[in-house]
Amino acid sequence: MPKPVPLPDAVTKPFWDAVNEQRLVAQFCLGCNRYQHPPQPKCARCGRDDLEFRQLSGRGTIYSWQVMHDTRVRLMQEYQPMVIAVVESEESPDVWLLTNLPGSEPGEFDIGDPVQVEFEEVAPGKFIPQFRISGAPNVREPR
Amino acid sequence: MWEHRGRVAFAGVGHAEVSRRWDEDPETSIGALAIRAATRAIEDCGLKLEDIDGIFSSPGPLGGPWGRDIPKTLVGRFQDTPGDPEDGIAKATAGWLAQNIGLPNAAVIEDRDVIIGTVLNDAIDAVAAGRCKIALAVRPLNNFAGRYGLEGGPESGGVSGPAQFQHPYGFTGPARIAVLFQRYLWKYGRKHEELADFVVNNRTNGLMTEYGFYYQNRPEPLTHDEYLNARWVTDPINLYDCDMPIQTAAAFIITTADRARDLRHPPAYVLSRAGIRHRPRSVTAGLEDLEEANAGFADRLYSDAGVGPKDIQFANLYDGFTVVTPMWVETFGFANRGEALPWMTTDRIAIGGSFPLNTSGGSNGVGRTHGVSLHYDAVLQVQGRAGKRQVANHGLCIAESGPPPDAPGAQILSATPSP
Repeated sequence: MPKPVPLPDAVTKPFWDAVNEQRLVAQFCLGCNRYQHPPQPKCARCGRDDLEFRQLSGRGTIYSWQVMHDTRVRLMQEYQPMVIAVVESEESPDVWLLTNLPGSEPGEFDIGDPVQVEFEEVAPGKFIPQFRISGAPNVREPR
Repeated sequence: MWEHRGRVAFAGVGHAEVSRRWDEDPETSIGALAIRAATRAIEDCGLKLEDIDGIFSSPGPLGGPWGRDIPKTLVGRFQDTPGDPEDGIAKATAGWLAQNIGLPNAAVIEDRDVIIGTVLNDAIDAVAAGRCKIALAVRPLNNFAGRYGLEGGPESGGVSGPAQFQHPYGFTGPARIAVLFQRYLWKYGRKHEELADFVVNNRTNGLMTEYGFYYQNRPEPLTHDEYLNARWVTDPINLYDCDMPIQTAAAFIITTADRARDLRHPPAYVLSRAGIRHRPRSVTAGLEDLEEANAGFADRLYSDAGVGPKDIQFANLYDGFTVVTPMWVETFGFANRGEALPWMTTDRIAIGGSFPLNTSGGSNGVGRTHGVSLHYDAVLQVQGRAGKRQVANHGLCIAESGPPPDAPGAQILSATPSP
């Protein structure tokens, strides 16, 4: 079964075009010098439309995570149970991306661990960002 | 303090019967149920249909539209809304209700696509501002056959809107709530199983709540073992952390304190009301943002009422996903940050406890009413007519509906206009 494929609109197209070239970008407001994601027609903070897309390093940390067992997204049900993590990009606390954290099982990672972007082809030529645990995990107490 | 503190009151309430799903009978359609709830609320106060001059609805649909041919038995049963064949079936708008209940003097007729707490706030504000004298607020809640809220099948061709950043990862339903709770557990060193007393107590209370799903349809207690061994929906949220989708409707009558004093039951005075609307930080909302913003929401509620957390005697706080209730317990100052879970023990939160929490069992204990029972039971408790679940100290409470990342609405209700 195919996975859900993002359908870009005029505002989100530059983001997905970059992802399809296996580059990660985010919208940056030149008015207030802040990133925002997902892309918006205007800056959600200052209201200006002086926005550009900037290349990100692809590095970040895990903000939170869960193990989905019963998603309502029909095309994703066959992949359950699956990890879904929220990644905070190293460039900005305002840029969060989701990932299924390929290569990691629950218990092998936690909040704060470093991740690196990679790209998953969900349809021919259509990619989504995913993230993989990178480097040494943070030192932590067992839960 | 709020200039209208103690000058607006809940006078009465009404509820329709509850079922798991619509059986396609016209008399259990969401429209018929909403009419029944509204009529009962009006009768509960000793009012007449012509007394109602304002009607507010949060019409729905809740679990998605009907999207099929209208059942033949329904054709001609109600006065339809032109161009909207689903009105009365998948939703019940204020206009549809005014027509079909027969409210000849309804001058203010408004729909709000929001949680009940905010609809109630709007009705309270309309009465406070003199836009109407006796307001009827209605919440229809529909649930049709089939799986609730399935999204994005193979025929859809792709995902657009905010979902384009979420569905490719399976992120939907309670996923955004799980993000918050996992972060909460990590930040404060807590465990999911610490919710057990609360969830079990919700069922205990729900089995005393005559207008709830479990009381009417499934009068079975929930044990700690059943809760702790339930399947995960999305870990750390399990089956019993999620309220059960149901078909029902409820209604409230809100009027001036002066008018309420002449009606059948003692008024439940509104000392304050507040709401807040959040903008998520990024692809979803974050715990720290919500803790900060919702602290301001709670501060407004308290300062407008002229009371503080120590004055509150019981609280009904949103639990459609039970994992958010500890966040609300902390936001409203009943426990310190990170300490709500060990605070939410049976001896404290039960009906006979030192601080009853979610006296109806909340959405967790009565079914997915999107928080209706939190306000509904607050009114009954303050009025002193909650029957065998009546709490001893029922003079002052908070009723709040809505999970932290959405647009929650809350009131402080009091048995006296100026405590």
